[in-house]
Amino acid sequence: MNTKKLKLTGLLLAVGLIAIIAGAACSGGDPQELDIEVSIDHGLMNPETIEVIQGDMVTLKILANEGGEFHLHTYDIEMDIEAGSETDFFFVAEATGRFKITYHPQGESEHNEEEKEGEEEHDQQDEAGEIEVGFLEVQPR
Amino acid sequence: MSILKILLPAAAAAGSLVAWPAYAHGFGERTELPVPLGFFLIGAGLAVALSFVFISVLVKVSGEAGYWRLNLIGTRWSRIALTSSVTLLPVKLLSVFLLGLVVAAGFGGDSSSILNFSPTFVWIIWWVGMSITVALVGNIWALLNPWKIVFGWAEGVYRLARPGQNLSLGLEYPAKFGIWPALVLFGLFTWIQDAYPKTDVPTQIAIMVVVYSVITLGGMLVFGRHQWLRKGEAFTVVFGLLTRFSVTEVRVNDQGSCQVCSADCRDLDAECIDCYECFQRSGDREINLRPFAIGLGRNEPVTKDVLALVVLMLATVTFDGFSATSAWAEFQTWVVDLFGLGGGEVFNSLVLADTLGIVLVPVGFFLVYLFFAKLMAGSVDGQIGAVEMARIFSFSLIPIALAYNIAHFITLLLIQGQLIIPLASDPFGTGWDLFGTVDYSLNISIINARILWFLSVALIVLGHVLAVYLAHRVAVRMFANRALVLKSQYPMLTLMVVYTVISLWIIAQPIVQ
Repeated sequence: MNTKKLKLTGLLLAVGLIAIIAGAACSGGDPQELDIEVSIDHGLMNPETIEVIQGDMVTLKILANEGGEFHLHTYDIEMDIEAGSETDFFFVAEATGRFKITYHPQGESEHNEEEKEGEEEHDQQDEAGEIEVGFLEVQPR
Repeated sequence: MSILKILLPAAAAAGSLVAWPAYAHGFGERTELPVPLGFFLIGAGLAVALSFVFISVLVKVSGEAGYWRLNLIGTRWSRIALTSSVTLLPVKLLSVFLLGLVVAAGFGGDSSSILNFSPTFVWIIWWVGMSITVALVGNIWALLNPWKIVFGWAEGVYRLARPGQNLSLGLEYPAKFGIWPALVLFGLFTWIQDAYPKTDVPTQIAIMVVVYSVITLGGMLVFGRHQWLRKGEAFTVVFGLLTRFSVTEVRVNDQGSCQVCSADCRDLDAECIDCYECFQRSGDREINLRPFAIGLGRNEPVTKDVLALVVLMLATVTFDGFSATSAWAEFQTWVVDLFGLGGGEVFNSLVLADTLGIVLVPVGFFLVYLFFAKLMAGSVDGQIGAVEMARIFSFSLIPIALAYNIAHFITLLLIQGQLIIPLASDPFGTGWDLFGTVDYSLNISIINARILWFLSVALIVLGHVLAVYLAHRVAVRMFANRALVLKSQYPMLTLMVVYTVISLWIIAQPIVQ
């Protein structure tokens, strides 16, 4: 074996690994309390991607033009939103990742909804009416 | 891939917004963050640099067949633990039970994919979990394959009832069919995973399992158990390829049993490795620990059908990731704009777009590979043709695909895979709590994004290095002349760098599903 070249290989590997670990170790400061305004208008969310950093204490202030259910996937958070009035929602962004947000508008009038509520639980229609509106991105700290 | 480069700008230009339906590939949501640019660049740089350093170091490496091995069934106790029916029977019973449960829950359980055992078990635990285990640890599919077990039992019972007769019709399997039946079935499976829109519907899964069971048991009945497993059972064939990477092998030393084997199982070095039929019969056998990836560098002929399957696997692994990027979403938009949103639930333009991907990506991959194989053939003055080059070096590309596959699926397995804990207690979604785990809530911060980035890039670079090593080992065996070995490796190296960088690029893309 050519020891000189082996050493070179080792060196290259080491430099690369150190570079990656150095990148991995750098921290993004202390967790923050964040208020984020989110609007949902005709199936479009603004901002399209909610960006926070791991550990942040986030309050989503959700304003929708149409009543419905706001669903943050995997975190598995569901919120009933009333049309036109702001709904606040607090959570701590502990898990890193890119999580899908869907919205299930409920176009029907109020008492119609109540009638349906009982049978709705395990039905497919939950999934059928959902619109993907954006993502929550939690970057590592 | 090349055709996409032309189509994508057009797609971007078309650029209208479509509200995408909830549309899972296979089943389960990916939540990983894209790998940041810095990680991508370091990974790509390392892959290139290490390739060239390695290739010069590796010049000294011999292509001899021998490698380090440790026999795990060398002692009496370990032999009993690993091969006696007392330990194996419960595992086999469980495997057959799980197959039954998938079908029963699929037909009889809750219709929601989250509340039913089958989607999570089939797509995440079995498909993702089994392929990673088989590729790293060893071929547990050869032990757990429920169809193989059931048919084996049926054969035993039949022999008791009618001594001297076989359950199987034992028809001669036409040699020219090769492993094409397995390839076609695996192609269909891939289509279902990446294009079929109802993969997460429990009843659909149950139907697929039943249909596949009929095909598999029927194949065994007609051609004999081992013949069909070897040629027609898609997962035995696919896992059989993947497991060459793993740290274990089964080996038969007394080659008497190979003479009655239904296949010509010995490789060109006359070794009988990973032939489970011989292993079952033989008295002088080993289960060995061995170095990673070494099983991909054996001296064996790679036939056309095997080459086709390897290409299909390599391409579809990449496509599974690529189809979740925004580049692909733009292509889908373009196809939808072209053909309209109409069509049925299954036959619509979105499915058409993904179907095109599943067909065109492997074809494109093959053409690119063939181009590089042609360069290799040219570099050794045409001693070996391009197709032959493509054949003998195909296995050496597998570590790259495997490393990418693990990086691509590990989050899904670790996070969505946890769903199996509550589902085990209530497989039908009817309110049972068999093991008291029904209220288990997923630990979604089980793996930190930064660790995941590090792991993904490190794995892919490592896979790349192993691929370079394997290709070199094969080249040393093929060419007597050191100069030819080196010359033949430059095109291969370039191809591997391209493939690795594409893999890294995909994990640096945000997932848009």
